[in-house]
Amino acid sequence: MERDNYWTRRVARRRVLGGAGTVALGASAWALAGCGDDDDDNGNGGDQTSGPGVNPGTQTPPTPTAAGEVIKKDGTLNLRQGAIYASINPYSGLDSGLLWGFTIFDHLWYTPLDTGIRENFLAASIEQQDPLHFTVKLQDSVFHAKAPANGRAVKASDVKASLESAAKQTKISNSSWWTQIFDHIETPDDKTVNFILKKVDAWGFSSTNGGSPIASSILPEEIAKDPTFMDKDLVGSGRFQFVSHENGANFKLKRHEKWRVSGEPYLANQNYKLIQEQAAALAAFSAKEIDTLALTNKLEREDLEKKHGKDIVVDSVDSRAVWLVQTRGDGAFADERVRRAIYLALDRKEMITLMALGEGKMSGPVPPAFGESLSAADIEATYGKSDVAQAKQLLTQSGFDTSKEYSIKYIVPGDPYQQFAQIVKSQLEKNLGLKIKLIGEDFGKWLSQSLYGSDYDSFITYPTLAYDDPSSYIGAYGKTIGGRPNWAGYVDDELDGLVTKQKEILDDKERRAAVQALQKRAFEKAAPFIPTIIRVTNDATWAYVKGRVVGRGSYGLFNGKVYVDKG
Amino acid sequence: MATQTASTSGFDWAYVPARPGWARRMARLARHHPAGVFGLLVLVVFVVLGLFGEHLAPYPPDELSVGTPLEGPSLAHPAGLNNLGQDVFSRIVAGARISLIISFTAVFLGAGSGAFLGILGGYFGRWIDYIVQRSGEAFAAFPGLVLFLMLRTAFGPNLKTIIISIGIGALFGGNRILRGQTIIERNQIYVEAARAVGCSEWRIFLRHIIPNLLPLVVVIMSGAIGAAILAESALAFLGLGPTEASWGRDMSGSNLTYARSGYWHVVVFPGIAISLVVLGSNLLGDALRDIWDPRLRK
Amino acid sequence: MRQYALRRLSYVPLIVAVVSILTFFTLRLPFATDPVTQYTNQNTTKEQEEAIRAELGLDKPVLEQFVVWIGDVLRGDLGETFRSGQPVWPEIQRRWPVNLEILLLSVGFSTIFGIAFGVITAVRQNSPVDYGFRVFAVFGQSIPDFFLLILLIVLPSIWWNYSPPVGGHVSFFEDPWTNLRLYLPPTILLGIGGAASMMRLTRSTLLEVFRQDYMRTARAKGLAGRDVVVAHGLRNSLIPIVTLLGGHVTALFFGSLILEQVFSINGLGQFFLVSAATSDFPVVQFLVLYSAVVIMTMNLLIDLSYALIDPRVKYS
Repeated sequence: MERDNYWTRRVARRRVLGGAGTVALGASAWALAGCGDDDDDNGNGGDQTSGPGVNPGTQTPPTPTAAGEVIKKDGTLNLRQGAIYASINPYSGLDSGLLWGFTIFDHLWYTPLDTGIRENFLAASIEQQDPLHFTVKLQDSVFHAKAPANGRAVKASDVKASLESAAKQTKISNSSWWTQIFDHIETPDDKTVNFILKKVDAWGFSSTNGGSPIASSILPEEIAKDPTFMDKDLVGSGRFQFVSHENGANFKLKRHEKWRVSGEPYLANQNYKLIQEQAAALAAFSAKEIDTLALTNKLEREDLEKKHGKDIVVDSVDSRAVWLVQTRGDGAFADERVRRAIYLALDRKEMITLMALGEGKMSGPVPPAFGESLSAADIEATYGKSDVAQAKQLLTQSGFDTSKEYSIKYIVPGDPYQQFAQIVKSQLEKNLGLKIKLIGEDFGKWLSQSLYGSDYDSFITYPTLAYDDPSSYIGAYGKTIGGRPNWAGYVDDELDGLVTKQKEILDDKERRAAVQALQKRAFEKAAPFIPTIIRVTNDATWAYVKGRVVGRGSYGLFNGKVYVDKG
Repeated sequence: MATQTASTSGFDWAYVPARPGWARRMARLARHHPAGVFGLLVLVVFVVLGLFGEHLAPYPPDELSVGTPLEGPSLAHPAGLNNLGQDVFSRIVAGARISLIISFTAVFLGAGSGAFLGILGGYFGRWIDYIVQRSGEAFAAFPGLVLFLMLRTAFGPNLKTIIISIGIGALFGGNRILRGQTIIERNQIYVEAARAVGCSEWRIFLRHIIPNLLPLVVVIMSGAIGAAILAESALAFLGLGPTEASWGRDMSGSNLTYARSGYWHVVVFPGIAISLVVLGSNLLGDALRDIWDPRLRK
Repeated sequence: MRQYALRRLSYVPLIVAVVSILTFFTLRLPFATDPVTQYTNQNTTKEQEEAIRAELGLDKPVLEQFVVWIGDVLRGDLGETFRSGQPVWPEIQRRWPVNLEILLLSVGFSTIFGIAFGVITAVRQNSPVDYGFRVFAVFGQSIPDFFLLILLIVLPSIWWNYSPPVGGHVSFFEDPWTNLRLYLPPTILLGIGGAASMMRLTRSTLLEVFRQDYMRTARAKGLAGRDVVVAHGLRNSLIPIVTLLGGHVTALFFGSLILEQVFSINGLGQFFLVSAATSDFPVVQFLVLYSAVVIMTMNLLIDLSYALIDPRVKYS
């Protein structure tokens, strides 16, 4: 089952469309449905500034098709839906919120993760007069030809109503940006939107905050003022129009004929088939009943490649959830040497082999999917380093008490959590001679008490959320996190200062350098949050689906140039 | 029945041949009930593994990467390996511990006290009986799973929770049968005779009723062990059980996913282990029932 | 008899009340999981947390919450789920046919197989057939349900490269073939498992009955063997059989959950598990209530049926 709580919401961007949700409790990971952490793409490993063909700040052209190809504009894309949506209302169900955000609704801008540089969508221009104000001018655009908007033009008042309404939704205003930074909007005329902010936040445009595909969806004013309308029907101004659904499943969408980019989208329809069981989805994919599928492990990929060879394309997808080993920052672990010993005693290669069957990567605090992450070489030199001999030495030097029994707290149920904890326990016992016991806790208690309340005696392991901006990952190093004291009891003024500072650097390049510097500094200080690996999963797509944007994660979902050419 | 030898007085009322010794009687029983013997053996092995399993396992059950992950059964690893590279056979041997603890504790505490309450209620009747019976009905209305989930919310996903809930189930399960049988017992002639001679109720209860019902209690308990293991493994399978390694848990989650992809050994062997132990408990229970009271034969 | 029925019926609201009170308060114990944590993340401020708590109705004193909830339920308003704010009742209505079908099929199969095998083995007592079936019965009672179901999925894929269809639910009335294709294999398997206890019970009661004098009379009267068995033997064994059947239905509450799990079917069991895990109180509270009512009613019906089956049974 796709466990739908905040901790897991961020999970399924592409997964939502590729659909790897499962229904079974305990039969698959909680948040990481099918171990399906979020997949934002960066199949290109080392290059951190931009992938090939990516021009930061401008729209990415789709994968070039063969010269002279005729673009077919009457195709239907069949996708898989992994679980029934509790509600189609994007304000009630985050699964629906994400899905519609990429299809039915339009947005002012979007910030792709790999470049971190905002791209304008509905916004014709964005000018920031000062850190607390910016002005957006709108392009021309019309809503879908459905009541109550009936194809009328999108006005500034619609934008204002949508965003202010979203800010009030407790369950989806999942970042504090909407409540603590965003103040309100003024609309001097139909095409001008003035944002007024309460505080400075350099990450305001990111897809966690103001660029959230859910919260920043533009609704008609009438609906924004009465969101319960969306329990029954959806009207937006995005590329596709909502046609029908069956009890939260089997959605049908069709092309919005008056989409603001004329000639697009190329696809005439999108259909979502409810297939909960992965084995059934694989069969449906092989039978061409669905055109693309998110795979959950290496075996599935090999099987499909064997069956279909060149007729399918497999893209590898980096997860944005980083598996963390968190020690304490105080007490016996206040000594930097102790924490450094733990850093060096972990064997990330074995983790990749066991957790991910070989399909994973080492990661720093900010995972490789982001432009702000450390380069692969830097990671190998810092977070990826494993030196058991030195670890043992440091541990003895520090006088750490190895006769005591320590504990690792992890989430139950959910196999990946337990497996990761087991691997960490085994490595620490083997490499450092520690005595460790495993303590599983129910998610609610684990989150509010053990993690937020810092109630654990030595270790706590978990995958981070798949955040949408690097700021959320490094937020953990501050003295307070979300108003609560640091979860590891770690108090370091320098790192805290760096965390606060980078939030205020408005220049993208400078901010990136600051984030990278912070990560390196955190390593030098052996901060108690030890990132280890990310998983790499795969998506399989039939080759007759053309015009896709690959390698840019959920940004690629905003693509009107996809079409289906079955020959 | 006391052993009787030939009379030492002058009388020769009747010649009653000496009863064969204990060992020969056991041997004869074993010959007549081979299935029961098998069941007993299985349970003995189970107890031994449960107590000493961690030391008897060929590989440490939690150690990772002792071989190629997901490799099938082989000489070195008779049950193959799971995706963390752990030896499945060693995990089965070590997993016996949890099943042993849960089932035996739940059964002895639960069925034991339930049986005692049933006997108490059946013999003394009136308000004891009333309370126990009504509680039994109330409990029956509460699906066991729900009770378990409530306890789990309160006490957390650990051993204590599962022992308590299975124990409560066992308590009410054994209760009714014992109660019925007790009522039959107390109407026997010997009870009246004892009363006539002047024995107090308590004395009758302790010296006669309980010993006569003990065989039935043992029969119920041996059957209950199997039932407890089934319940516990089902809960572990659903992911609701304690976090320690156990057979049910090893059959769920990612192991199940891999099994669907063809790695059947990771789930089939723990399943066989569960089935074997439950089978042993059932066979033993049946054999004991046959021996002690043919009237109760199912 | 009517007095007995009424008296038993009067217990029902009492016990249901006890059950729902217990559930309601246990969920809200101070050390139990707080549902609000499901909707927060590291950036959630205290005010946002309080806003969520108020939205879920959890900020009021527990007693007040209970009174409100009971009032709503009695009026027919089952509330909305915490997760999505959607009403609970339609969700239950949608899933309920799944469980009904699983129940009918499984209990049906176990009764049919059980009685049939029981009759066969009783009539052919001590024959090889008898021993064969009894061995089967002992095994059937020892193998866990979920193991059988797992084997059903895993073995065919190894042997024949075939997987039984899983997931989804199509109503029987819409598409009988697909529906049966999904439900028949697992329910037959579950039925066989449950048949074991039914078989043993039928066999032993029939054997008891055969020993009775009136059976000899019937045979002496010249009735054919099969008639004798069916007409007299079975009818007199009905009471324990019906009791066991009731036990099976109760057990199926749990058993179907496992089936739903292994086969990815969206039934009430899965709904309950998910809601329990995510602390979705309205759903859990209602489902507990619902199952208590169903079980108690069924037990009552079974007890009352004794009087119908056997005229000698009188209730005071």
